[in-house]
Amino acid sequence: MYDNVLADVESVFASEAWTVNNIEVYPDNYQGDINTESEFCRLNVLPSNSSINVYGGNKILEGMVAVKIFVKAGEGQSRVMAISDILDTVLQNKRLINGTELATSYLNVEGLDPSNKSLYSALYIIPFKIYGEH
Amino acid sequence: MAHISSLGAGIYTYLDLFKGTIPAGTDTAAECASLFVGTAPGTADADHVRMPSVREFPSIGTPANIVNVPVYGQATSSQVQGQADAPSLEVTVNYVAEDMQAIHALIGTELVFRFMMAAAPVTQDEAAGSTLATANTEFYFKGKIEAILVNPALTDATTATVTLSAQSDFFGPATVAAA
Repeated sequence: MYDNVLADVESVFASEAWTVNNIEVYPDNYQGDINTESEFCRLNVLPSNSSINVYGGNKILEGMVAVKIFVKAGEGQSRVMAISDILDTVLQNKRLINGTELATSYLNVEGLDPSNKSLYSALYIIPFKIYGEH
Repeated sequence: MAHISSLGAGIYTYLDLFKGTIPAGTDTAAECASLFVGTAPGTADADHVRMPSVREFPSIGTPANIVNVPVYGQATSSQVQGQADAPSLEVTVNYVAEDMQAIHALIGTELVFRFMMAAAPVTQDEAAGSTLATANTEFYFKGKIEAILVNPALTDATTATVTLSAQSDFFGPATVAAA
């Protein structure tokens, strides 16, 4: 089930609807090179809760998909907002192939990155839910 | 197996239906139980249907209907158990339309229902055996599926409320014996 969520979300960022935008997305816990250091995203899938919604023992898994957006500092907020809108078009209210259901997103604008002041960042968060076999 | 002998969550609870011909005079737990045994015990027949994806069960059993009886010379009335109203039998299911077609088709048909609580998962085929290796407890009743109301939900699964009517007493608690 956890694998299914990760595969679902990663498939979105491998799809043409996303790749056409040329915004690189790196998974959390990635320590390799970053090609375009002035604009990129980091993807984090955060399962956080589960419950039973049916007799027989199958469960619902809930959590959040967090995409940290990094853009060049000193050029205002518009690029962060634009990338968030693109994320909405590929994620918001979508049902993905393994059954992961995404809800509505929100954005935490976080300002200059403390470890690299040439980057401005925001955290795009969208809750997900996946139902077990019925 | 015998009845469930320890306290635990009731997640392995099932509602099974028998939609075949109900012999006249079926009015004991044993007679009802025999209807749920497959022609080849251990394999469910076409007449055996399981309510899919149940989310909430109603209370099963005969409710109380305490009637107060005035008695001259007593400060308080006496009480007797009158004929009880049948309970409201509404089952909430996660509504997957494809899975529910068989249930929709049974609206208005006289059925025998088996409310089974088990200590471990029991497949439909296992439930059609003459014996059962898992601790289990059942209640049976005759009745009908009267209505299915679908409830879409904005942020959770679509559900449906399946309303049953009881046309007999509740028989049980009974148990399917171990081999």
